[in-house]
Amino acid sequence: MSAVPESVEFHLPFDSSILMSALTVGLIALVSWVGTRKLSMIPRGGQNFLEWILGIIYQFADDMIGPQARRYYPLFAMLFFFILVSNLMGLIPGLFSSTSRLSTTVGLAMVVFFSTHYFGIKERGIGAYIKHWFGPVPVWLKPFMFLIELIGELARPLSLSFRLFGNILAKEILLGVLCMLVVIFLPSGNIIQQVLALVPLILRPLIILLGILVSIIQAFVFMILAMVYIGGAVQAQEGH
Amino acid sequence: MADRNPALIRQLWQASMAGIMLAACIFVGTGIGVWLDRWLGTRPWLTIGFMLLGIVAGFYNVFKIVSALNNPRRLK
Repeated sequence: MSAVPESVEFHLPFDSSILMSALTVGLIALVSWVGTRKLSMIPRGGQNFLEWILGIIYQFADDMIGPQARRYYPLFAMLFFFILVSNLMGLIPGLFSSTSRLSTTVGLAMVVFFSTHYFGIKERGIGAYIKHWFGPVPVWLKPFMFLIELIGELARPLSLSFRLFGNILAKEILLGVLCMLVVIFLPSGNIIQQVLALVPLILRPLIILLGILVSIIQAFVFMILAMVYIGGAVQAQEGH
Repeated sequence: MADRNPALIRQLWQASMAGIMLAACIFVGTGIGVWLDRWLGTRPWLTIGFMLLGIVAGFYNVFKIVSALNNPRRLK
């Protein structure tokens, strides 16, 4: 039994969130293929739209990381499009967001976590990178500083993954519960309950609008925080 | 989108992280403590110690974020 009452049981030998992730990837690949099929210097239609979104992402990456941001464009674009499409997929009846499963969001957060440290070591060298973990404190405090920084670093993927997971699961459960209320109230034969069924019927479109907003904002937040983390790792610390 | 202030947007997201980072740091610290206690059989000392470290780490991170908000040049 799925946590979301609205969702369909797919009866697969593996977790159905993998199917949803695969669908998401397939959809992104299809849209990219359609959008880039007829490339022209003056973009129109799908190409124009995709270039507009990518332009915004690139601009943000440039603002936050600086000139070396170019190298990380694909990572940020991947995070944004995957999370956005996956979030919005949950609004289609019968499908659900793969980001409403903790395994997917933890996977995404792990990608950010490991790439942060990989790029940090690669850009600044392992010595300088390890040095910034010990902070600007006296020698006797350095072990504590290392532990504190370690806990802070480990808390990042935790907060990243749980926020995305919580927001999207809440949206899915809320939509599912409203759907179930209509299903329970309408055929009940009781006039009061049938009138009450109007409330979720009116509420549901509004929650779907809210869901679209949350989907876009969460995809954006995840991408921006990935930029903040990777930017912090690859740039030389000035304050210390 | 031309007139946006990138430092402001970055600060906004960082500030939204402050609360959740405080909780997550305590959670991670306590988690490490419980795990080490199970492994080394020193219950409950490492749990208490690492929970305190987690609290310190949480406040340290909040302090870092807030001081960066006051001084955008140092924001990392």
